[in-house]
Amino acid sequence: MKKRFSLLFALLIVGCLFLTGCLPGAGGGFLCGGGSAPSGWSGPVVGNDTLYVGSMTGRVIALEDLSMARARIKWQYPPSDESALGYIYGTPCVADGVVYVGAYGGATRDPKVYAIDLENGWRIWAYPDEGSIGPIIGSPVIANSTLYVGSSDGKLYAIDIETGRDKWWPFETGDDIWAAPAVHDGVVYIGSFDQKLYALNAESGVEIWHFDTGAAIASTPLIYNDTIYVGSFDRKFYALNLDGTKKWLFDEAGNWFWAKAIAYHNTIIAGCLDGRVYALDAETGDCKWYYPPEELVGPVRGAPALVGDVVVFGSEDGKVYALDASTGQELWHYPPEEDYIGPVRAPICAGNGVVYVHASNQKIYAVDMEYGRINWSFPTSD
Amino acid sequence: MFRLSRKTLIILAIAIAVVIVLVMLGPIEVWNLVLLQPILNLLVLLSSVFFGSFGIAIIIVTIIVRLLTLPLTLRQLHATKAMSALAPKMQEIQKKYAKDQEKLRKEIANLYKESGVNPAGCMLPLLIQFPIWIALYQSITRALASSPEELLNLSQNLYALPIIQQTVPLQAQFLWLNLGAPDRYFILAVLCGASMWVLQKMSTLPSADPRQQSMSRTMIWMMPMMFAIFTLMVPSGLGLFWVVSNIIGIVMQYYITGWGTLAGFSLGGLFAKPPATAPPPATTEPAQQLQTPMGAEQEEALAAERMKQEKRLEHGKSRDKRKDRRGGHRDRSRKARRRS
Repeated sequence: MKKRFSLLFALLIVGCLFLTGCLPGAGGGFLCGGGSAPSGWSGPVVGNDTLYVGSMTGRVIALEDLSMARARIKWQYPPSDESALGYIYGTPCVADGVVYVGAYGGATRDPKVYAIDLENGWRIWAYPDEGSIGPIIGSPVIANSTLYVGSSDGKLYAIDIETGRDKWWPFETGDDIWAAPAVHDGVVYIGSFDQKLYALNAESGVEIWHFDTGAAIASTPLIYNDTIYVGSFDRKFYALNLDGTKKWLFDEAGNWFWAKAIAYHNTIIAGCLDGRVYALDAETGDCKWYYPPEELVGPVRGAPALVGDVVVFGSEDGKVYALDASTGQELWHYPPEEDYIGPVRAPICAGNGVVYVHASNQKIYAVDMEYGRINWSFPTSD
Repeated sequence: MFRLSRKTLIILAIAIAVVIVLVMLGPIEVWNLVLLQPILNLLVLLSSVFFGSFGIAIIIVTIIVRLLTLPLTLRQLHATKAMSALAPKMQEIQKKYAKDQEKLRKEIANLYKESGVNPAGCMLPLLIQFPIWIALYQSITRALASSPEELLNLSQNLYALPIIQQTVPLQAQFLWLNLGAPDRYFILAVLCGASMWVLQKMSTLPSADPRQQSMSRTMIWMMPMMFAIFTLMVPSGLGLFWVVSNIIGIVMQYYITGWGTLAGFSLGGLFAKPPATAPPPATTEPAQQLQTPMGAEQEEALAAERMKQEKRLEHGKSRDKRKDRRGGHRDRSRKARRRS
């Protein structure tokens, strides 16, 4: 009888927790409150006719034969017989025959930055050698043989790409860094959750100035025509002069700016979590157009891509949209009609008339730029 | 003509409005709009007011929600207390009709009816509060947004107030706890288990039924143990909420029913071996002792309440007799009509 009561009671508790959405998550931890389990949203990058992407199963994958009917896997790191790197949010960065990727970490691996040989997928170095840094969400950036990457421990790391060692003592901000840095004219620009955008000397890591926005910054700054463009969680988009003074701000958006903006003929195009893409005059901040004009699409988290006069972006509603960059008119969307491919949170990558989309359904899609038709799709899961 | 009272009409109108809104917006949207978002934004707002401390925000929101649901909680506790007061009578009936289950059920139903106690009164307020607690659970875990996906999700649930937007992401550090991760030192799990055990012990009704006793004993241990284990696995923000909620529950329970079965409890007895079989109490006295709080005033109040119930019972019996008489008279007149 006692056993029956115990079983009944255990079932009751599990039922309650099920109702509250407090059940084990995919990453090995517990997922509570009906939230979303971490999965990663690494964007693809193309170099030497090969596509590199951090999969949602925690592996860096190299795909070749991109122009064929179906791409083929060249290598993956770590190989399938080794444990995965954890979640990968940052887009890999390719330079001098090496692909660099920052990992968020997971149940079996600590957060680290990895340098992997482009040809064979062998690890060259990992930073730090031992121990770990905070989880990495922003992409790494390379300039002057130095890799810059921000971490959730609030530090910006500068790593020598030859040795995989610190170039200068990590610069500490007041809160997590989830954004990728931008490097321009010997200055590193990085946004932090402490609501500040920092300008640092790229050689020494010494702070030059900082600009306080009204809320956390998770978007990567864009440097265009000697102006820094960055969005913030205060629902505003800022244009700053290179000396850290404000040029203008756009405050008509309905939610946070998280995606990196792109520049097109004196126009700054930025995706927003309110489900719109805004095109702002680079000089004045006036809104030239926004898409969609009426009904919203899902939140736009990943950076759009520009191919000629076409801007392509993915949305949380599971679709990819192509717009005329000068007017904001929709050219096509994929998949057509009511279908969807799962939320698109990763930045879009464009090359050779094709856009590559890493959707949350763990597939890479190669979509023809002209007609918005699919060339191939490749599952990135094991 | 079938006529509805004003109260029924209002309830009907509310029910129809709720159904229309649910159909138009969808249940998830309604849930988010009515419960989740207000609690979530209140948490973030309080976090901003109290120097960015999300731990203090959790404590205050738990207290606010407890106060808002106080009428329901009081109703539930009073109903539990009334049930507890009926325990001696119930034991008598159980003893008397132990062999006749049909009669036993009837007599128990009569007892509830005559003493004006509704057994569902213990459960209904609890059920009404349940969605609020689920929403609070969800708000805490969503506000913490420990992963990028959760932060993305959070962005869709915040109000467009600068004070709220500026506070996100929230500071997860509170005392020794990282509110977004389980407590590494197990302190919260121990606190959660201990406070829940005290609450369970205080609120458990004494029973003469060995099966019920066995179930109560299992519940008293199982519930705290399970929640202590959950506290080890879920973000400690949730554990903090459970601990605070339990402490408030203990205070409320004390003011309504006193220490309950916790009275007379000693730490020595905690580890003492329980008897092999739970003997049913021979008289109603032990049960009364268990449910009686220590204070003399409370004892007097309970005695007065018992007298009232006895009066009600007597009144009920005489009412039944009158009904029987009336029924008998009706039967007789029917028979007479048939004969004629």
